[in-house]
Amino acid sequence: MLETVVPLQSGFLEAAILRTLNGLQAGFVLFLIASGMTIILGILEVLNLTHGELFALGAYVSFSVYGFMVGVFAPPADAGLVTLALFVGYVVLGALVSAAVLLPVGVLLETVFIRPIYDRDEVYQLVVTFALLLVFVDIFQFVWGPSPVRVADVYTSINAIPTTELFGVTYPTYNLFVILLGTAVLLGLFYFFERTRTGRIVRATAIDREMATAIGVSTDRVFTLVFALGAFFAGFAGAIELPRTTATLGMGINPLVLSFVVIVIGGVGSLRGAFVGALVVGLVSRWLVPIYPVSRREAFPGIETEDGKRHLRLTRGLVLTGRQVVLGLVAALVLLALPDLMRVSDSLQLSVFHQGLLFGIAAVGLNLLVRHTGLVSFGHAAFFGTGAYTAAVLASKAGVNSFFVLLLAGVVVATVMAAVIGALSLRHTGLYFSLLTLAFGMLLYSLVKGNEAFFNGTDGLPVRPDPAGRPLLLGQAFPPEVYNLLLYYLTLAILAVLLLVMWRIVHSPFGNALDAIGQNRTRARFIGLPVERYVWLAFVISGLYGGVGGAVYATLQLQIDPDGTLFVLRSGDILFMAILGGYRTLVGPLVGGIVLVFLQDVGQDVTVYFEALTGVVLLALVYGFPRGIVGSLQRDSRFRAGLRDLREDPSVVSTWLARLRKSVADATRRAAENLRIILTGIQ
Amino acid sequence: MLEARDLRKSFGSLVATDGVTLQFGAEGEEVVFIVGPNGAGKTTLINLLTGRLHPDEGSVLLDGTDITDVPPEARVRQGLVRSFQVVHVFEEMTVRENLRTAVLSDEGRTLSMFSLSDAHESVERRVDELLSQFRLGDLADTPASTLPHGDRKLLDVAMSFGLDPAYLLLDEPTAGVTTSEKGYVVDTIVDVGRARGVTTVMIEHDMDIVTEYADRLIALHQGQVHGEGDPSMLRTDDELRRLLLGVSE
Repeated sequence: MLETVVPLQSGFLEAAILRTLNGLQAGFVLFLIASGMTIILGILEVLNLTHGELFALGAYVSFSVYGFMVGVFAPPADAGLVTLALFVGYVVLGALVSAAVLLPVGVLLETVFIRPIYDRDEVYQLVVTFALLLVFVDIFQFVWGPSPVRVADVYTSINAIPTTELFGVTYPTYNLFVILLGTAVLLGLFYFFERTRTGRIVRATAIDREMATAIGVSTDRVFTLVFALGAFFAGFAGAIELPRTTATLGMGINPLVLSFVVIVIGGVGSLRGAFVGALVVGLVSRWLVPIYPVSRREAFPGIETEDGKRHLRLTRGLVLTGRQVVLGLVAALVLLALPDLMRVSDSLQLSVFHQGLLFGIAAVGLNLLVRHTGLVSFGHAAFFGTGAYTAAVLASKAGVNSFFVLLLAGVVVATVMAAVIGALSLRHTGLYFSLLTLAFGMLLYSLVKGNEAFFNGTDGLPVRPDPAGRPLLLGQAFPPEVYNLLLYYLTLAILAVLLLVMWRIVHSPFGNALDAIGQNRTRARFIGLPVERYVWLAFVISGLYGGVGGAVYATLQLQIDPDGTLFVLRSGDILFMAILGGYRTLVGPLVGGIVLVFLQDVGQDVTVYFEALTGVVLLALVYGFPRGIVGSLQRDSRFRAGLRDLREDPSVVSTWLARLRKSVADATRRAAENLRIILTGIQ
Repeated sequence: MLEARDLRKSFGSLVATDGVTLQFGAEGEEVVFIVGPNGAGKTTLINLLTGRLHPDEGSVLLDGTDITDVPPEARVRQGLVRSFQVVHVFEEMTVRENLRTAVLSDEGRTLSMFSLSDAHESVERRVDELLSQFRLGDLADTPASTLPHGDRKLLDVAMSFGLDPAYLLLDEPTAGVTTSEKGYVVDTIVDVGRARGVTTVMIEHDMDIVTEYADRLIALHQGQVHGEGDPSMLRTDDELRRLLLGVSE
C-alpha cells in the first residue's frame, strides 16, 4: 500500500522548505524578467516600463499557443510518466513559440517607439513606455477578454500533473520544473554573454558605446537585438508562469516593480547582479508573505497559540513551548560559543566538554533501547570502543588519513558489531540480557587488551596516519588548535543531525512499536509485532550511535586505549549518562554525558577520591531528581512545588529531613537485606 | 475455518488437552462460547490455537493451511487474534495510542522509522472508528493505566478488533468485570463482531450470558470435548449441568 503521510499540521521546517522552494521558483521567473530590463537599462539607457507587460503578453500568447497545440494533439489525461513528459514538452515548446512571438514585438517597439527618443529627455522614455503599458493592457482585454485565463481552460489534463515529495514536503512537480528551466536559461544567458561573439559585442557596447561604434559595431543593431532579447525572455517567463497561475490584465505591474528592486540590489546592467537580486527578492517575498490563506495567528510559519501560550512548531509533531525555544536557543548558542567561553578559566577545557558530548551521543543511542524497549544494555562501550578502535587501526595501520573515512568505517564496523552482539544477547531479556551484553563487552575488552601484536595491549593505539600528523578534515591538515575547534563544530553538526533523526525514530510507528514492546512484550507479540526483530533493530541503531561517538572520540584524542573506550566502567558511564540526564528525554543523555565527564575531570583535580565523589554526586542526583536532570526540570512538578513550599514556609525543610532520614533508613535496611540474601541465599 | 485436529498437550503428568478436534466458523461467522469447569483445558486450548503453546500432538489449521509451527505474531497477521484473561494493554499509552499501535501493526507500517506515528490518515480513521464503536471516545486521551476495569477490558478487545481479525479468541472477556457491566461488554463484542463478520470464540462462566449470545456452545471437561451444540444444551444436558453448576438432580 502507498505510504500516505498526511501533513496534519505543517511545522516550521516544512514551511521553511516550502517557502524556500517557492522563493527559488519566484526568483527564477523574476530573473528572466529583470535580466532583460537591467540590460536594456544598462545598454539602451532606457527604463522600460512596458517590460512587465511583455511578461503579461508572453502569458496571454502562450495561452493561445497551448490551446492551439492541444487542438492539434490532445495529450492523455492520466497521471503517468508519459503525461508528464508530454506536458514538459508542451510547456517548453509552447513557451519557446510564445517567446518567439515576442521577438518581432520587441523589434517593433524598439525601432518604432523608442529609437526616436534616445536623444530626448529621460522623462519622455518614461512617458512613452508608460503609455505603451496602458495600450498593452487594453490589447489584452480586446483579444483575450477581461476575465482571467488559465491553461486548465484549454488543457484539462494539466490537473493530472502529480506532486513531488521533497524533504517531507509535498510540492508541485511543475514548480520544480520551473526552477530547473530557470537554471538552464541562466546558464544559456551566461554562455551567450561570456562566450559568443554577439554577446561580447553587446557587453562591449554596454561598457563604452562610443568605443564600440568606433571599432565598427552597429549600435543600432545591438540596441534592437538587446530589446528583442529582453522581450523574448520576459515573454518566456510569462509563458512558463501561466500554467501555475492565471493571466490577468494587471499581471504585469508586480514583476515590473519587483524588477526595479532587483536592479537596485544587483546594479544596472549586471546579469549576475540581476540573478542574485532576483533570488533575494524571490526568497524574501515568499518568506515574508504567507502564500496560503492562513488565519492571522498562524501568519508566521510554525508559530501558533494554544491555551493562550505561544508555541513553535518546528516540524510536524515537534512543538516547543516558548520556554523550550528559549532554552534550546540558549543551549545552541552556548554550545556554539563554548570554545570562547572556555578561555575564561584555565580549569575549563573544551576537550572535556567535547568528550562529554561524544559519550553523550552514545548515551542518546543507548536511550532508544533503555527508554523504549526497557532493555538495559550494560555493554555499550563495546560499540563506542569498536568505533574508536576501527578509526585507530585504519589510521595507524593502513595510513587512512581522512576524518570522514575514519568516521564512516568506525560507524559501519560498530554497527555490524552491534548486529552480531545484538543477535546473540537478545535471546534473553531482563537481567540475563544485561549480563550477556556485559559479558560481550568484557570479552571484547580482554581481546583488545591482551593483544600486544595488533592492538598494542594496554597502551592502545595512536589515531595518527603518521607519527606527528592528525587526520585530515576535507582533505586539509590543520594545526592542533584549529583541528580541535573544527572537530568540535563538526561534532555539533553531527549531533544536530543525530538528535533530529532520533527524534523522528522515537515518534515514528517504529518507535511506537518499541514502546509497545517495552510496556507489554506479550501483548506486543499478540498484536502481530515481530518482537525479537524490532528489538534487535533498536539495538543496532543504538550501536550505530555508539560507533559515531567512538570514532569521533578517537580522532579527537589521537591516542586511545582499552580502558578509556572498551572497559566495563565506560559501559556504566554511558548507561549512567542516559539515566543521569533523564532517560525519558531526548537531550537528557547529552547533558548527562557532559556532567559526568566534567565531574570526573574536575574531581580528579579536587581529590584523589574522585570516583567516590562522582558516585556521591550521582546518587544525590538519582535520589533528588528521580527523572534525571533534564527530565526533572521538564516535568517534575514536585520539584517546583517543593521550591514553592520552601519559599512560603522554610520550616518545611525539617519535614523533608525527617522524610529523608526515613527513606535512607528504609534503603539501608533493604540493602542489608539484599546483601544477606546474596551472601546466604533466600531462606 | 479455524480447525483443531486431535490436539494434545500435557504439563508433566497433567493432561490439559486430550485429543481435541474442533471447527470454528465452518459455515460462516459465528459466536462460540467455550464452557467447562475449572481445569477443563479452556485456556490451554486457546493458547494452542493462537500459538502461545505448541501442542505435543495434533495440528492447528487456518483456512486449510497447517499453522501449527507458525509463530503467534504471524498468526495475528493471518487474522487469528486473541486477548488474555488478565488485561494486556500498553499501560503508559493513552487509549488512542493503544488502538493506534494495533492498527499500525495491522497495516504493516511499524517498520516506518521517519513518518510520525499519528500522521497516517487511514490509521487515524480506523482508530476513530474503533473509539466510537467501543464508546471509548471520551477516554481517548486517558492513559490505559488509569482506566476503570471495565473500560480496560473494552480497550483490550478493541485493540484486538483493530487487528482486523477473522477469528477472535477471547479468554474470559468478562473476568473481573462487575455483573452490571458484563452485559454491556459482551453486547459490544458480539455487536462489533457480527458487524465485521468475525468468528468470535469466548471462554465464559456466566451461563446467562452464554444462553443469550451463543450461536454455538462447546463444553470441555478434563481436556476433552464433552459436547457441542446450541445453548439449549445447558438445559437438556444433565451431565453438563452437573459439571458446570454442581447441580445433581
